[in-house]
Amino acid sequence: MKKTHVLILLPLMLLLAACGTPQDAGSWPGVSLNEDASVAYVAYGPHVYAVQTTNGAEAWRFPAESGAFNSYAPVQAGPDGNLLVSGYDHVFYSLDADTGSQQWAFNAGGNRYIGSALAVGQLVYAPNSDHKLYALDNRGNLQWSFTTGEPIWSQPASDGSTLYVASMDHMLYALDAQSGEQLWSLDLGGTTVSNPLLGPDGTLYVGTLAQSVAAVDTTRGQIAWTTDTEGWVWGEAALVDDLLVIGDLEGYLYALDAASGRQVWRGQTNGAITGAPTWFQDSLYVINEAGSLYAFSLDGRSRQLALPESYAGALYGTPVAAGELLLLGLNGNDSVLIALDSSGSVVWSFTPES
Amino acid sequence: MLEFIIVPFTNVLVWIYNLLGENFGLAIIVFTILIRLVTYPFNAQQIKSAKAMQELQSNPKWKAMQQKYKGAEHREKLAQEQMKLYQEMGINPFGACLPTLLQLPLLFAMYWTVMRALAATPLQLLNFARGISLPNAAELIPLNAQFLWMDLGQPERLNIPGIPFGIPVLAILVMITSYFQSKMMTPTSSDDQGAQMGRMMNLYMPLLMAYISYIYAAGLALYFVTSNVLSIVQYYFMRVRPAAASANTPGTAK
Repeated sequence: MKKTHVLILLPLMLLLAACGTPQDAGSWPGVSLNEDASVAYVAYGPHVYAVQTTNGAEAWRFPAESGAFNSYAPVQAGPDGNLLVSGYDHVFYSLDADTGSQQWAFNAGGNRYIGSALAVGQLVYAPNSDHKLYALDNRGNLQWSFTTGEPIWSQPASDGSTLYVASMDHMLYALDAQSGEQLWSLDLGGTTVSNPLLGPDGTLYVGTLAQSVAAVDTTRGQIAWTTDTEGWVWGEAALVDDLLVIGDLEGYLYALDAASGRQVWRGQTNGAITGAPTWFQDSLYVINEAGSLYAFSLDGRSRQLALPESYAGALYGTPVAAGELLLLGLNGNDSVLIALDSSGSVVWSFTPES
Repeated sequence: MLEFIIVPFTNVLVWIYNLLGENFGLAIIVFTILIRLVTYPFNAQQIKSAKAMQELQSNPKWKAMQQKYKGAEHREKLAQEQMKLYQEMGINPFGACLPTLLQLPLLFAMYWTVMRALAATPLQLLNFARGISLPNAAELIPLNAQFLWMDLGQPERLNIPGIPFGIPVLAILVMITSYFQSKMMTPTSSDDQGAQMGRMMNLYMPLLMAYISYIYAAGLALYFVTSNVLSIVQYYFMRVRPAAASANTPGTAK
């Protein structure tokens, strides 16, 4: 190639590279477990990995070879023990839980599936960024869809008969779980990306980016209470007895009285919290963007557990308790999953072989 | 790396978006005009340098030099003589290149600003949350990415009934405007290597810009088109119009 061509092409190629690739990684590992906690599923970029929780060995991966597939939302159990996978490639998948082989795929979604799906009875509800919630039967056939004003990033919640869908259009929708008919809707006052949590008494708890946590009386379709937070609320809440615990992007962890929303205590961490606290070995464990792991007791006392330097990096999402182990998905590390004991020591790590 | 540019860019872009009734397309156009105003002195310098280089091509000394040092064996000597002439005439041969180099970080920053503001993924929205300082930002999210027929966060295609594929209108507009802009800005060179370089630039640059517009978010392509059009307009007012005016002035030597 002539020198002049090289002189021109080089900066142009640099220009292309600097803009990144059209399919940039857009999220963090989504970790979930099978029913008996013997297998952990990690959805992270081009693969979903099934990892044995006893030793961190890979059981299978989907797909076998990297391609257009991308997924980040925690994999969910389907109606027949199948696995429901939300794809960034605009495709919603069902996998065989034992082998990871594809059973069916739903291709009609118009955009990314960012939130996890939910299965109720024989129906599967898949939220999509094309503003729609798709209700599918367990063969991937569309039963109905419900359109909101903006993308839906959060997983729906349900009591079995009513479905609660929080959309980025600031609204919470209550739908008939079978027909998809809208029962009521409620303005939450801000965009919602966090998964709503349905309490045993039918109260629904949800955080918003408008720096608030709302409790919704689902029998009347009205706000029961709201509590302001310092930062945007991204992660899901956890309910421990009468205490509602939720984090925000300023790094605060709030313990609220679930009945009134009154703040019982507030703890502080050193980075943005994007997931729910997890109840593990008598403490609430929470991770943050600064790469820190904290354990909070129910009275608000906290201790920070140091992770080994080799696993340093931002931590997003929710820690997952698997028996005696606490599983953390790692972002931007060779290892994508580590298992810790209650002292914070790494029991095993899972690094996918390329 | 470019956070120091992306963060203020994002804040200004979202502020304009809010001001313009939540129209992201108009916000990008107004924001591009603002960027062109801020970088006006650099762009003006580029046009002046290009003009000076073009005039140099018709300078008798320059022509004589080209004749005298013809051939590969005299290339070094020719370069030395050319440098002397540049100094003599007060021309900076890199004057036309430096503003282009300034445009590159702006272009990268603009791409990331658009992607971050539209926040189509959780990490983009987190980055947006970290950098935004407008008090009502949370109320504006998600930003409305629709502009005319386009989703500004996705590569643009115009679907016309009866045509089985989407037409990349913005990418075509980017190619056309980039071609004219590049053609205007590239000085005509009388030496072979310079002329070839200019031809390559005029060919590759529009193709590359069109390709970027074809595969990346439409918001970036809208920035390209607006920026190119403004550049052409600026060139017209700085070079074409004054030249025509002076040519039409009675008594002006031709």
